[in-house]
Amino acid sequence: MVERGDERAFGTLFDRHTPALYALALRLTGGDEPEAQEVVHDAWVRAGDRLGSFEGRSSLRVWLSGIVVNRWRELARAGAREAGPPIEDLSLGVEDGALRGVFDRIDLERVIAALPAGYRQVFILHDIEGYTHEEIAGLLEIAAGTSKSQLSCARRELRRALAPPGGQRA
Amino acid sequence: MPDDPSDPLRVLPREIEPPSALRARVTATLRARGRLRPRYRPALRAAALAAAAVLVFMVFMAGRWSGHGKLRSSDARSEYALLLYQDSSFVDHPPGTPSYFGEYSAWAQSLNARGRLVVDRALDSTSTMLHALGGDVRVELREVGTDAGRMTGLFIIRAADSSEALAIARTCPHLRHGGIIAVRSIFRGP
Repeated sequence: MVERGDERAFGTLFDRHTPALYALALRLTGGDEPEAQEVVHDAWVRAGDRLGSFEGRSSLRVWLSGIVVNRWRELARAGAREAGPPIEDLSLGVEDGALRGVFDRIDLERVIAALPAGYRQVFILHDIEGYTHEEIAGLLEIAAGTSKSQLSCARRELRRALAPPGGQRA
Repeated sequence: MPDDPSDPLRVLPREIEPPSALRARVTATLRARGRLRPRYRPALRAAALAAAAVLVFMVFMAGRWSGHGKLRSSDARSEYALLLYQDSSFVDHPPGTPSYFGEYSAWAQSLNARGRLVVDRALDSTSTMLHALGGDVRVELREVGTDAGRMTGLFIIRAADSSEALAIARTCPHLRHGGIIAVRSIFRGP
């Protein structure tokens, strides 16, 4: 029905998926609310243009999330705000174990937002959104090994940032 | 990962409610791109009718103020667009009375007979808004309202279609000064 331009059906779709897309966009933008809203707006517009070509090979949520990620990357590039190391084919790194410990939500959001963009996007997609490295590789057009390396670097950065003064948290 | 009780990231919300205005904005943009059909809302029809009613009132008052319909010589070279708005106090056209088009056509003809009429057209109930944002120009469809802010100028242009009209609007210096341009398609009555 959405494909036929049914506004009510679109509203249902929007309400179902946008809170998750907005959470994703907020983290990708490092908590920049206006930019996150732009990303989600543009992602829905793009999805509206392409909905007819959605083949259902992934869930609609994954498909929409992919559009959010790509739109954020475009805006970041256009604004020359792609901070941190660029994503390169660094497939030699060993993936670190998942983050362990008990952390305050605000602390976590803060240190994730402070990660270099390249690390941040892979960390968010893998550890928060639950994408596999293969899915991230397809989404970001990088090698799966690169995704693992970026995740390893991101986790290392997070451990360092979250470590209590004078100690290293595992 | 979110279901793992030992995962420290479980404290992070997977969903965050966006501002309510975002949905309206997305919907308006998709409408402008022809991806969504607006739902029928009686308020929109009432808006057009109210606009016409206010137009009648304003021109009537203008005629009174101008001194029995005679224009000053300096006014003879001027043209004006009367942009009409409505609020909830608008009273819909009563059943059994002449249609709005007929009523306003008659009024327009009387103006024309006195040499006061330049163009008589009803405006569509939506505006296509262009505004500069981060080096880009955004285009969105909005219902006519006060959200666009105070109107400070007007151009009437001729264009083959809405695409050409938008292309012309993009070249307006108003955008470079941070202004917003509303491109209103002119509704032609039966």
